[in-house]
Amino acid sequence: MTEQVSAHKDPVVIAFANEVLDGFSDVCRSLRYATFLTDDGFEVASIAGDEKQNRRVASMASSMQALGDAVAKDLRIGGAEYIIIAAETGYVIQMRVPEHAMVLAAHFDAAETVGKALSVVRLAASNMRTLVRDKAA
Amino acid sequence: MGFVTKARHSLGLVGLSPIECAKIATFIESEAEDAGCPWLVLHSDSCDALIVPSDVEFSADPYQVLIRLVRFGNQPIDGELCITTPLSAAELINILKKAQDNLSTRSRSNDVAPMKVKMEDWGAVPANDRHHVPAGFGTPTPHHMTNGSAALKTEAWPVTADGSPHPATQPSAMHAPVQQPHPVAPPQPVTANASHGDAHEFSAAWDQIAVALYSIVQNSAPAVAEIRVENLDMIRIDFRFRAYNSRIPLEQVAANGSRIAIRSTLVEAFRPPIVNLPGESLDKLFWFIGSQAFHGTGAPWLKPEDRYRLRRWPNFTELNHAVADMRAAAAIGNCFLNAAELASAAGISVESATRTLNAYSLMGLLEIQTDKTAAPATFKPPAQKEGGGGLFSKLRTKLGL
Amino acid sequence: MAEHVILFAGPMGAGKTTAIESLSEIETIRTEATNTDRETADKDTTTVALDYGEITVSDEDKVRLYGVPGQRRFNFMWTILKERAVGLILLVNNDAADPIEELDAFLEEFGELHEKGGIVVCVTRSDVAPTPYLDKYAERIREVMPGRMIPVFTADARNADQMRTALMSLIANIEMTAMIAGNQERAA
Ligand SMILES: Nc1nc2c(ncn2[C@@H]2O[C@H](COP(=O)(O)OP(=O)(O)OP(=O)(O)O)[C@@H](O)[C@H]2O)c(=O)[nH]1
Ligand SMILES: [Mg+2]
Repeated sequence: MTEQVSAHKDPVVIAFANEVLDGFSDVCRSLRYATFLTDDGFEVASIAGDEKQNRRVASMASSMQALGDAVAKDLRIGGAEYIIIAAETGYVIQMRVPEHAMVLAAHFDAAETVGKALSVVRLAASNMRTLVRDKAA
Repeated sequence: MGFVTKARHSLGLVGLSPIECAKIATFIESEAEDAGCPWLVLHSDSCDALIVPSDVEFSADPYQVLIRLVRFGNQPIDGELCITTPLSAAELINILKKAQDNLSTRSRSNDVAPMKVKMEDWGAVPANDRHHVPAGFGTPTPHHMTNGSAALKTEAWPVTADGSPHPATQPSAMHAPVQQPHPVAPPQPVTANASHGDAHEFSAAWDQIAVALYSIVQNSAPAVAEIRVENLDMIRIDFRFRAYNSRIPLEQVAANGSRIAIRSTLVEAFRPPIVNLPGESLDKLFWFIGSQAFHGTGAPWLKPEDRYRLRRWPNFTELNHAVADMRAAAAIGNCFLNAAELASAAGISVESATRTLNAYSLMGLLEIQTDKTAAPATFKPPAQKEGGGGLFSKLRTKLGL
Repeated sequence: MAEHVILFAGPMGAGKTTAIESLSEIETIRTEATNTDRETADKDTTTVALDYGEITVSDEDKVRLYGVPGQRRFNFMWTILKERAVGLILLVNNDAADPIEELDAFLEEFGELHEKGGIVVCVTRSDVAPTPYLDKYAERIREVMPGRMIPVFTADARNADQMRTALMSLIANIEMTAMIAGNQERAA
């Protein structure tokens, strides 16, 4: 029943998210900023970025994730695992935290390879899942 | 009796006591028609003729005939039509005949429809939204309101009370809110329909019901009413909550029987509702009666030379509407139109347009154009019509509406 | 092919997603996410990007129905979706904390669609909360958009007939205003 508290209002989940994000920026220098958000677009925790910006990223990332899911569903190719937006000076990768109604959105500068960025994002999302699952258990 | 009973003039009772009102209504019921002067008694001071106490300062409109009620101890006013208390049927009928003569000489000069009920400036009247609590709710009722009735026919149903105190002051008002049944139409269903050759023709009695309802709404004082069909209380209306209950669907009510009467009374704002709330929206009833009544001719309170515009759209989702009604609403929602202009704008017959105007005005949705010099709205039907019509027509076909 | 984009806007829980579902001929595209804001609307999911449905009217005409997310955080989607719309069905749930205030706020955001075509207001969930009455909405619309005729209906977003009435009224109003404008131009 305690699970009912939504992630962005749950201090424990917020603390986990901050912990994961700290480790994330340590392993990846090209990370500009990153945000954990709920599926419905509330910011759980962020590194870097100003408050207003982070909230906005959370909303947009949630829309994008849902659009990705909608496209994948329409094409009947399963759920969208991650979304990459490549731009001139960097890219955004977002990925769902497995088994949770939460998404990680991260912005890298162009120096990073997509492959490396993708693997650290996957690692961070997976760490987050483990922490939240262990808390529930 | 070979002719169809129909009121020729409306009579308003202003500032009279409930007992005086009841007496007059009863006299008219029992005597007036046989005497060849049927009158429609209304809750309104905008009728063809008015009975007003002689000690009440009152100025009638030029089209109206003013009759003074001279109570005991008061002096008749020179040159005015008067009746004196105690009221007698003979005296009343006599004076009404004079009023009738008076009115017919007036109407002969300009040859217009005789029965008039003035359309008030709707700005002052609360919009007819569902269960709307009227402006008069909880405040003293206007003094000129009377027990209203549409009284046209001689053979009255058993009269429950006569001259008893105002029902709203009785504790039993909740259960027996209305007194004095006033049958509107004679029990002769076939006669009423014969001339129109349409078995489903709305009985002329409903015209009177429409006029009575209109005048009650115009007064915007807390009132309740009951429409009886063949002696059954079929429809109960509580104007305070803009709600009604009907025993059977409206279409069946109308098709059912010819002895139709409306009885209405003022009711204090704090009295419990006489309908089971929320009930049905009064707009539904008004829409139904308004569009059926008057055989497709203009309601007596509408002037053919006036133009009207919607104050707001009817709530179509709760009305039994056709697709054409939406187009008509779109037209008259956007500019002032008369029936002919509405017909051409919406692509409907003038008769349908007139019915629409009748219904909207009964529902209180119309405003009148005040600027009489404004250029008439002209409508060229959309040029695209040959090419299969606009999106509206296509969607209508597509959705099978 | 002529495309007619009709937008569905209004507060969270007003029934935009439900309305498009009721009207669409195709399986709708939804972007629902688990709802964590149960105070505003007690329902499982909420729209985070858009809803999409369509009605194919003929070989040349398609009505595209887009729903926006109700929560203001997603107002970047409002801007995107507003762009192509020629009409708006504004849904307001009568059981909102202050539905008239919501009406106000959404007319402020989307009122420009009246000039691009037309607007219809549907008051939903009036079975759940009977007040405010319809005339309160009509009154407020007259105040904030004087001189504009905006139809207001009570409607249940789950009821396809009622949503069709709203859609048809919107289109009737759009075509009629265009026709009147055309006539006035010709007259001038
Ligand atoms: N009782 C009742 N329920 C209604 C009515 N109209 C819609 N609903 C219900 O209200 C809810 C509306 O939810 P949605 O359609 O998701 O609302 P929405 O406007 O898309 O909300 P967001 O996407 O979160 O902004 C659904 O559960 C509908 O079934 C109504 O008139 N009466
Ligand atoms: Mg939605």
